[in-house]
Amino acid sequence: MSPVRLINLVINGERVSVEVEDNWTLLRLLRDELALTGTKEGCARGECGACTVIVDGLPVNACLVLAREVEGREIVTIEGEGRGRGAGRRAGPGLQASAGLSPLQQAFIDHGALQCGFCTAGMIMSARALLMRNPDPTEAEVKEAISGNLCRCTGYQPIVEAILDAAYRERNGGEWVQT
Amino acid sequence: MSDPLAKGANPEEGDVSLIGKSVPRIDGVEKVTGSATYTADMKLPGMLYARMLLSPHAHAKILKIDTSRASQLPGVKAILTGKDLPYRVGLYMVDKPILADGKARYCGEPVAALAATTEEVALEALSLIKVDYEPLEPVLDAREALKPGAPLVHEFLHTYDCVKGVFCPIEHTNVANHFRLRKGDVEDGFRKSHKVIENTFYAPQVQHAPLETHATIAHWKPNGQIEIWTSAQSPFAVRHLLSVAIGVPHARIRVVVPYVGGAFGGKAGIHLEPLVVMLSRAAGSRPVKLVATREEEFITLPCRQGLHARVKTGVSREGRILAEEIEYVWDAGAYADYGVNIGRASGYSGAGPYDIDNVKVDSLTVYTTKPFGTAYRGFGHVELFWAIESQMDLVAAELGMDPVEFRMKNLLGPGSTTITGEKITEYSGSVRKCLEEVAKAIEWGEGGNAPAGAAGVARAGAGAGSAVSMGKLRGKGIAVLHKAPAMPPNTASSALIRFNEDASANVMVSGVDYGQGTATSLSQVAAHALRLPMEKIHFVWGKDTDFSPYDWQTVASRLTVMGGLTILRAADDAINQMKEMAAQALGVAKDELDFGGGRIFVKGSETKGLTYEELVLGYKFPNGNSIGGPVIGRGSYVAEGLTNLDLETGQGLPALCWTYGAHGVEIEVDPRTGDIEIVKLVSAFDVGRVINDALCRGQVIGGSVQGIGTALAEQYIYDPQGRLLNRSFTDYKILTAKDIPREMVQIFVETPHDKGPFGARGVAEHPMISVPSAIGNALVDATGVRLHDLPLSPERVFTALQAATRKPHVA
Amino acid sequence: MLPRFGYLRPATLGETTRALDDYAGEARILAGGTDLLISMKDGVSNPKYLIDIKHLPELRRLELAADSSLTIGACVTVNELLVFAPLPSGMAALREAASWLGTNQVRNRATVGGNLCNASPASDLAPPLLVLGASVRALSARGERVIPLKDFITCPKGTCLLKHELAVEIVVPAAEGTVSGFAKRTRIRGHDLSVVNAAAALRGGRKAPYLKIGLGAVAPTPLLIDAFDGIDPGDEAGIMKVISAAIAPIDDVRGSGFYRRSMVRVLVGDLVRRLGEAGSK
Repeated sequence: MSPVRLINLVINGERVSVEVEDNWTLLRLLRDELALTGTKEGCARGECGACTVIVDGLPVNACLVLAREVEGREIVTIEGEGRGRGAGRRAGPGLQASAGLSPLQQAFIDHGALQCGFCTAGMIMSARALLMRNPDPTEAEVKEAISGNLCRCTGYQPIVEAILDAAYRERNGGEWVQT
Repeated sequence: MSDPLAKGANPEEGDVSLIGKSVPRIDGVEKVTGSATYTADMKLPGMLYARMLLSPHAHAKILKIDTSRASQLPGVKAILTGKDLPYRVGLYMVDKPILADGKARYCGEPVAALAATTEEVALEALSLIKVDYEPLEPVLDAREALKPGAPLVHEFLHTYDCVKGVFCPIEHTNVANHFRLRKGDVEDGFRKSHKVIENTFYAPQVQHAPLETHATIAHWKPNGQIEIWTSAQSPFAVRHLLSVAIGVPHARIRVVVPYVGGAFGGKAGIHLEPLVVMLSRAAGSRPVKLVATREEEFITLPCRQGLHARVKTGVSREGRILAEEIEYVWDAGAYADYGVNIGRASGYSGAGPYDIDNVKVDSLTVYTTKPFGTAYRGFGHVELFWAIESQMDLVAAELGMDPVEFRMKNLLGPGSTTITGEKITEYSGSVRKCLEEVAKAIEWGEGGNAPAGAAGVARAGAGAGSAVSMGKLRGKGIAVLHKAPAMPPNTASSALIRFNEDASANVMVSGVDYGQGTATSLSQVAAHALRLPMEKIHFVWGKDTDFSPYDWQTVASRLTVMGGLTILRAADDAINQMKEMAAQALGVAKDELDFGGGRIFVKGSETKGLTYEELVLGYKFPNGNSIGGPVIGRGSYVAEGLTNLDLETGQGLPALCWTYGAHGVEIEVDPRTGDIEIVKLVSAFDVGRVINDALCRGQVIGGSVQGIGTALAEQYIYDPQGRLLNRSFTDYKILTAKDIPREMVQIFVETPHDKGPFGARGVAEHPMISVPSAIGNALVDATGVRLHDLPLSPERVFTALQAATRKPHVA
Repeated sequence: MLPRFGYLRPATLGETTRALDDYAGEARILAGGTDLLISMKDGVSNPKYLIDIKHLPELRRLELAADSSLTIGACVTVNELLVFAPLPSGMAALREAASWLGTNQVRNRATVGGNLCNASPASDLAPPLLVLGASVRALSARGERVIPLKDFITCPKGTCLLKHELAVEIVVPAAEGTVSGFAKRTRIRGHDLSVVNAAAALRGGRKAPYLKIGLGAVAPTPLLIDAFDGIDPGDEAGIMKVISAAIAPIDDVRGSGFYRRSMVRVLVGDLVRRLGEAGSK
């Protein structure tokens, strides 16, 4: 009953042509069809934010967006963060091969803003969307931007600190501030 | 050569030590780039998708399951019901069927499962399965379940296996375990007491709510080998419990744990794995994947037990506790395979870190027809300390004593004997110091924390001097805590260190890092012990029972301690092997050799030595003659000196090490709405030695926020038929970024432990413990009103405040 | 998992209303999807077709007219409303309610029209739109009609729209001389459905006060209470007496009737005081 339709969209800067079924969510398209498994499913009801991606500059829950709805749109997922985004080069201690990480990603590592990592993709997408519109957010603005991203591990405080630090670093041309 | 496990083993002088450093997490890059693979991200060729059919009844006989229409749907490859799976599984009490066995014991229990080519087909097939139930009377309250004549949840309890000599189920009742502890003579103690204070408390069931739900892929291969990829805390426990349950030899089962998206105890033991394995077999040896939906995570997968507690405390006029009688009735839910040990651990630990001569504890694990409890951060201690630390403040109030002062009079310390008869030494840790630090940091005693007086006289407006907004009330509260790893006395860990050609070291343990960061801290231990930089340590991430050396489970805050000890032993072993070869190669005695900077060298010599590279695969003399062989460092450790506990008196040595701690909290209460805001939370733990400061802080911040959730917002809410009403994040609220305290302070006390690596103890669970009681005590300070039941939700606080003032609310 | 359905994207409003006619009751309108897709995943809704209307420019208008009335296209998202700079100060209740709704991610998809058509008794947007006297313009193949919002939501999850009708716009009359506000009681500070919510609009200053209160989660539908004739806006007890008689909050998983009643008192009291102070400036 539900025919398959070829749609074109842009994902992480690349044009993608893919056949989708009408009842596929964007989350399903990303994870199951395009092997972009960095975006996670946490609740399937738009409550947890683990599936947050950026559509035309706005963060949304991919579990509540149909693939058909985003035909022609520009999608950014966690896999698109860091590459070609003014990625900082940083020689840190240990094994961090930091080439290709954005200041935001690096700040998450530096501040211990992740533990199990399952909320991290969505969290970084919400933070990225915030910094795209507001490069100098207050702590309250950061909390508002990420309050739709549930985390059970970190207690959020390190995440807020990481985002504020990343904002500073990005405003200052990616200058690394040793924390 | 010095024993790395010697009392308070310390890093060498002059070394730039990694111990204590905030080395960045080694798994950061893959997680921030979305390239870490979790179980649900995996696909295998020919993989099928499984779904479960769940019981809508809390208690019901399953009369008939008709799967005929479902099995005819194209794409359905296997359907199973309880009849097909005559097995029971369980860690401590083998009471769990793989699918409901003739009756459903909770709403959400899987009664059938199937595997199909797509998830869509699987869901459609589920709707074609017809089940005839005969509803039975549910039993939803653990105290009701204890009454004679209560419906039995497990009629055949007497046929179940459990760990003999440790657990005591009571046949033909709903009691899965009765733990008894008797120290001294409580009746005598009460007789001698100046005052005897008795109170009851209640903590409801709550859920771990990890962001990643339970997920398992299993493949019963045509050659009879079983491969499992699962989001789990304990690959060896999965393998063992599966082997025992279905009778397949261990060596034919391989369990792999990829990245895990949070666990908190809910993924310890064994859960979906047996079902998925059996579906794979039934599907003609195709791999099968089952990922729990969020709703299933709430209603099908386990949660935390609820607790009804009664505490009776007798005190002398001077404020010394002379006797304490404790009854814990654990609302275990429908199964207690893990739960019986929570009953036991809460029993032997259950009076808190106090020096009391006369103690009686009865801890009952009781079945009810609800989702069942399993390990969850704190393992009974969050719940028991809700009771104990509330009680301590109540007793202090009866005496007109300051709560900190009262505790200081009674906390245990070197020379004390615990309630199981263990002697506390100077290596046990200092709860006193933790409380002191916290009291200082929260400025206890300033701003009006005078004792409330008997029976909670209303003292609104405490905390004068700080900016109290708009009619809000401020208060401060403290609570102490302790916990030792709750584990069998023969719990074991092992580690392997092997070297690559460039003398980098592959470190392998089967402890799982599901976010707590132990892989990083253990890498630091390895780097330190081998005297190599972190860049030379490759901590092998994937856990695989075919390759990684045995570890019991990653629970109980034990991995840093036991994993750390095995790594120290493995490193020692590796260095020793290199020294053997070097001694021969250099023509010196082994004890003339030292190591560092990637070399084995003669003490005092700049030049006489060999690099690790020259040794790790054996040593070749200049003429070609070769000795030795590839260096493999081996470390094994069994928790030493632990014993079972006497079944009548609870006496024995159950604890490898105690981690003590304390929380101090300042809150602001809005009496018009019942809102509690945490202004400042200070937490102190005696961790012995901090291995990685940032990771330690991460555990404290994360664990205490989880504790605040339990304190203020979380509980399982059922309808009268026993169906869970709040089975999604819509109505089971966990804290968001907007809910965290204004300020959080973490303090680490370091009283070295005589057994831990560098003196370290675990701290993973402890931050969650006693957070609810500290907040409850602060609520009393702010408002004079005490709640005996959790959570301290706005509605419950408001209602209690209203009742206390007994006049209509005026805005 | 979503059940199977046919996804339609009509090119014009005309095509949309014709599709609604053709599929008479087998089709649901897909706006933001944040309620509909969940109810489909839960098996509560199972439409044969979803008609996506978000791309239609007529439904995305967000404009202040010359007469200072506000036209909100049905597919204007909650965040678009939230950041709409020209929003008159008298309609502040709208912005406040928008800021309380869901999460940032949800607000980027959820639409004003969708929220009203979803008709939850706890809708966050209905109470402020009620107190501001909004109406809904509905279109069908047979014509259009304007429905006052107070008549629009008829029962839990039900509106008076007929199966072939589409809500295209919400019109909020000019709010000159009005002060308005919104408040919400939740279980945590983070995102939550309303335990209760309240909106208030006060017009006319102390001389000829005109008070309207909107309440959510205290009745089967969002309530508009405007029977305050003769009661001074500073008379909290008098206001509460009228309100108490009108509301019937139930006990449910989010809160008890007792708590809801008590919180209505708190929210309304705070609002009325706040607006009174603002109005007298």
